[in-house]
Amino acid sequence: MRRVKIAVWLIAFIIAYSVMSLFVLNHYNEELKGRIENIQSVYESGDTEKALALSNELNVYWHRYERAVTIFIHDGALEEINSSIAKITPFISNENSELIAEIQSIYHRLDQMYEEEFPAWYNIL
Amino acid sequence: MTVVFIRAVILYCVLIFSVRLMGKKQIGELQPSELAITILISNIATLPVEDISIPLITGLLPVLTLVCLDVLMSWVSMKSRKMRGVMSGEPVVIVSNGQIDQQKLYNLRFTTDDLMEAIRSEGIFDLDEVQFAIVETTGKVSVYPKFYARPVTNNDMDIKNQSTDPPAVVVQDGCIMESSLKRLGLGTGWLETILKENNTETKEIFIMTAESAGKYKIIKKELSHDSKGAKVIEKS
Repeated sequence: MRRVKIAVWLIAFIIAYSVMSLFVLNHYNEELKGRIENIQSVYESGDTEKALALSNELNVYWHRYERAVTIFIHDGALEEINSSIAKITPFISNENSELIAEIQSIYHRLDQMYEEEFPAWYNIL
Repeated sequence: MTVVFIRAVILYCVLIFSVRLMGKKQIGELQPSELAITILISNIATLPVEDISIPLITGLLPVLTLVCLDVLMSWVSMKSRKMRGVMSGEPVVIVSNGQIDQQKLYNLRFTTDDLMEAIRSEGIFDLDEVQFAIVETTGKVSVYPKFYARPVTNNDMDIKNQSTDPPAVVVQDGCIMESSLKRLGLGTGWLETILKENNTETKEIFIMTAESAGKYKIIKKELSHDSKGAKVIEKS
């Protein structure tokens, strides 16, 4: 009977952990998207200096994000976003036209990462 | 490399915990579902050790989930006969009244070679000697020989004696096994008296066995490699 109790507790813990990981991922994604959106609007208003400062802050936040999410997300998915985030600062300083495309690709990858973790039938099957 | 090492240590601990949680069963006694889970767990567990890009938790989670489900399903099977049938199947009688049920053998995809091998493993070499045989849910074949082929028992010979539990180890390599003493109903007081009587100490004992009636055997530790054998003290 003790084994059954341990098993029930473990299952409950696993379910709670899985749900919590989804919430954590969603929270970090929303925060990251908000910061990127902010950089984009500042850049489009022509304030490159401020955009660069925000981009540096984004890099710091990204490392925090990576450390928190790497516990349950495959490294490959994070690596792709990592390379896109790394391009933001040089694109702003060079006023590269690919910045918006890179930002869109980050949004897309973040959404995809969350969708892959979501327990929908198409992911389960 | 350090990451792989630490991951392997964590996985080792989780696997030991998982196997303990599954309970004591030998490979040969595992139900088909338990065997499948055991193989599956060993496969899953290797993934996060080999590939450090996979989060460790994604390796641990399925292992723990499968083990927990196995524990829960065995509990449900224990409570419900129907569920037991679904999970483990039913034992199938393949020989009854000395007659082989060929249809059942066919259904089980049991060849005559399998049948002969199974009865030989039970120490029977003549099919004529089999009264009854059943294929257990684990796949093991249990054989009941005909009356003339059964070994003679004490009961057949009308030999009367009291049935007692076998001797238990009460001191092992100088350590007192209190659970064994308690099970035998002897206690540490009894042990101390015996040790005093024999002028010895627990640390000098290699192994000591005892029965509930008070019969015991002490094998002392060999003092050096030159000694010709350990000293044995016995009391019937």
